[in-house]
Amino acid sequence: MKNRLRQKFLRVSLPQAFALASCLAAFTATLVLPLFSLLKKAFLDPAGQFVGFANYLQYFKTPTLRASIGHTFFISIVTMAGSVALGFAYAYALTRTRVPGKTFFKYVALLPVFIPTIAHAIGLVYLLGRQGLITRLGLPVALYGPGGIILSELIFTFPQAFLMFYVALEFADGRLYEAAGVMGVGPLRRFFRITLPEVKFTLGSACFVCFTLAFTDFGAPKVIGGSYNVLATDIYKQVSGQFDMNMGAVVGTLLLIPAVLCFLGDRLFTSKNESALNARATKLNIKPSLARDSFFFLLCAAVTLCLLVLVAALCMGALVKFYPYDMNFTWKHFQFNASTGGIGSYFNSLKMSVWTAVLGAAFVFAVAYLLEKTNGLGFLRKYGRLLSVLPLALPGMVIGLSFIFFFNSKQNPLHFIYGSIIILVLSNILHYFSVPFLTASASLKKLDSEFENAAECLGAPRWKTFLRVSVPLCLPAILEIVMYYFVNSMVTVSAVVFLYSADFRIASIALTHMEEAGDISQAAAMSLLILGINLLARLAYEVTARGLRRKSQQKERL
Amino acid sequence: MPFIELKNITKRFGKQTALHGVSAGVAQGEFVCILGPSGCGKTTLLRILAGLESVTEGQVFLRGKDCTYLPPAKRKLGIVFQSYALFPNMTVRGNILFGLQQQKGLSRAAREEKAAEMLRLVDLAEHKHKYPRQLSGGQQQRTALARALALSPDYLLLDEPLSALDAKVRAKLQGEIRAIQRSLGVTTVMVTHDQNEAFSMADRVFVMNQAVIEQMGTPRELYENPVSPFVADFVSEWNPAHFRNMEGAAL
Ligand SMILES: Nc1ncnc2c1ncn2[C@@H]1O[C@H](COP(=O)(O)OP(=O)(O)OP(=O)(O)O)[C@@H](O)[C@H]1O
Ligand SMILES: [Mg+2]
Repeated sequence: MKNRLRQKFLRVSLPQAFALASCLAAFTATLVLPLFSLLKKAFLDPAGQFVGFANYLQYFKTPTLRASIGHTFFISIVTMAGSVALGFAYAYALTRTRVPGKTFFKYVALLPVFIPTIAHAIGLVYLLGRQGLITRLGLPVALYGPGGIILSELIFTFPQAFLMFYVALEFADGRLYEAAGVMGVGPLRRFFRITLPEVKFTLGSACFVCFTLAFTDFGAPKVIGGSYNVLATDIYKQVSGQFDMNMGAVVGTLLLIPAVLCFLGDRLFTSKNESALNARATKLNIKPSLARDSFFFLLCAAVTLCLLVLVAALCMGALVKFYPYDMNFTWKHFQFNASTGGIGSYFNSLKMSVWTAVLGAAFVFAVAYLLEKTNGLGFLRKYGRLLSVLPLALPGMVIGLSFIFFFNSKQNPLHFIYGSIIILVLSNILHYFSVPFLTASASLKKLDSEFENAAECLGAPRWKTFLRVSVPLCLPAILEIVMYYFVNSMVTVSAVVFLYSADFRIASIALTHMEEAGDISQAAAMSLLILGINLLARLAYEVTARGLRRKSQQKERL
Repeated sequence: MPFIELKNITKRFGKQTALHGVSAGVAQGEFVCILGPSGCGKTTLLRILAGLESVTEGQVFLRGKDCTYLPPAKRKLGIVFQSYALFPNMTVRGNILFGLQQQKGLSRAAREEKAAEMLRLVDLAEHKHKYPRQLSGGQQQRTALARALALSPDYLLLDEPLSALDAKVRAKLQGEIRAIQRSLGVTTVMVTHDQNEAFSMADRVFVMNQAVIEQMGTPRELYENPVSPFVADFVSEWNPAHFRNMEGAAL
């Protein structure tokens, strides 16, 4: 019996098992338990009595609420299709063709990531609203309603799709393509037989990410939705407007539909893409093709033009006295009204984002490492994988709402974090966990699994191998994760909208309040400040990443 | 008493049997080659010797002690993986020092001295500041060997160390590995699927086929008395010229 156990666990080390178990326990306590309290709330009446499905019945009896479900699905599906197609084409252009100006295109595509979704919508209002720059040229546009929301969500989700495909397509094993070329396989077949299978896993993830983002975004529908209700605006109205927590919880559970779909869909595209790049992969050599390159160039140019015009509109809104009546230059919109948050909210946001980035990156990478590189522990690892991709399908609002229910309860020993910066950081780390996790896993997968074995045979404890081999080799990915967390924390609204306190306001929420109060120009100004710091952070990242790359290239050349 | 002894080792991956009741012994200072076709369980056997893979049944004895469940770090072994697994972010010297740095008893100077000795041993002293990607295949191979030998292991495991190299480099390294092994007297088990390599390098060869060892013996024994058609087939492809070379070298 003892031997049987030892056979089973010979390759399991106690410290690793302990580390993994504690990470997962923390994860469970801060994510799974709150979700349960949300679920519970949906079946209670305001007095706390169990009422079964009464809340749901009431919800479905209200026609305006019922309509939201259809609306939300419609918006999400259209957005998903559009973004994934556009994101893939754009990423393909930048990685597998000879389009000029790749660097420029790459950075412009990321612009929307750097500003809150409300700002996209505000930018669209400046362009296509009733007094919009483009509207005034005489174009009949129906901005308020589904059209506007979809446009705004496209802007919002496109960079996400693009980035995912970019990462997937960036590393190509040139040998595969050369081999195929030698065997006389045509470009189209190569695309379908080599390129697409390479990104199959990413395609699935990108679809879910875009779908979920659009399904749960609340910035755009709030500003330009008009009377077109979606689930995310409903939940906000129920909770922040009518203080109907139970109905809020009901809508919250409906927002989990993508999560359920994701879970079912997971069977279709399990992360079995073990075909990691091997050490001998060579760089892909792209042959020029005029037709292909000009097509992709025009596509990229069109997309970047739209995005630049959007940002230009925000600048204009922030810098003219009173659009469209007084077009003189002014800085006065940068003096924010204290009632909507003031400049202090901006510095609070910075603080929160730095903490999120540092702690989040450490947590994500540790979890990914433990899941990817430990032996045995099949059950724990399965559970860990499930937890890690769960946030992908969890709308920020659901996380925010379940945090209220869970941490606001007086019995909770962590009650003290409620209303502090800690709960904001925690919600951001969990809310944005999945994409960094996938980044970390992918980069860890690319490392030879024998590294750990080799180090173990040399007598190095695992944590040393982790710090001296895995971390340095994955540094680019880690930096990217830090970056991702920072930028997203700067712009997020959905999770934190229920969690910030009057003592600790943050910029993206201030933006919401400015828009509500009609201070559109101040909102535009705040968007620019957020954009500015995010661009700065990105610049810092690029400089460091380039430094790293140069160093590793030197290692290669010499 | 053999230095390494395997008793009735069986290893199953789910339903598939990778090793079936394998028993064998390796004497102190001996150079053994495990020879067999692809998928017959050679790597699995080697990984069990390293403690990187658990056994389903059976026992592994090292120096007469049951070490079946001893983790790799405690076995005092050196291993060269099929992919070399050199740490790409460390120089040749860094790779060799990595294991030495885990040895708490060694002073800094002693570590440096040992690393320098290893670099001389595998003739890489002038390449010590290069990173693995800047090295040729043969140089990478020698780096991996030096890294494995730096801790003065009791036994050395090599998994197809030469299979990624071209014939010329291969022949040269076969000689070098054997010479280094002789000079250090380290017990060595090497996996290969190349019969010429096995017969020209090994003191004894274990011929494996479909999860079992078909025959164990010196090259001459295998050549003169193959126990099965499978072994005979392997031997017949072998060029006896190598055999004579070996004996000549041994004298
Ligand atoms: N981790 C594993 N899980 C499942 N099956 C495995 C595993 N490792 C090896 N096997 C199987 O065990 C058998 C023996 O594998 P092993 O790697 O030992 O072969 P090998 O003799 O080293 O072959 P090669 O010469 O191709 O390296 C193979 O059929 C292989 O598919
Ligand atoms: Mg093998």
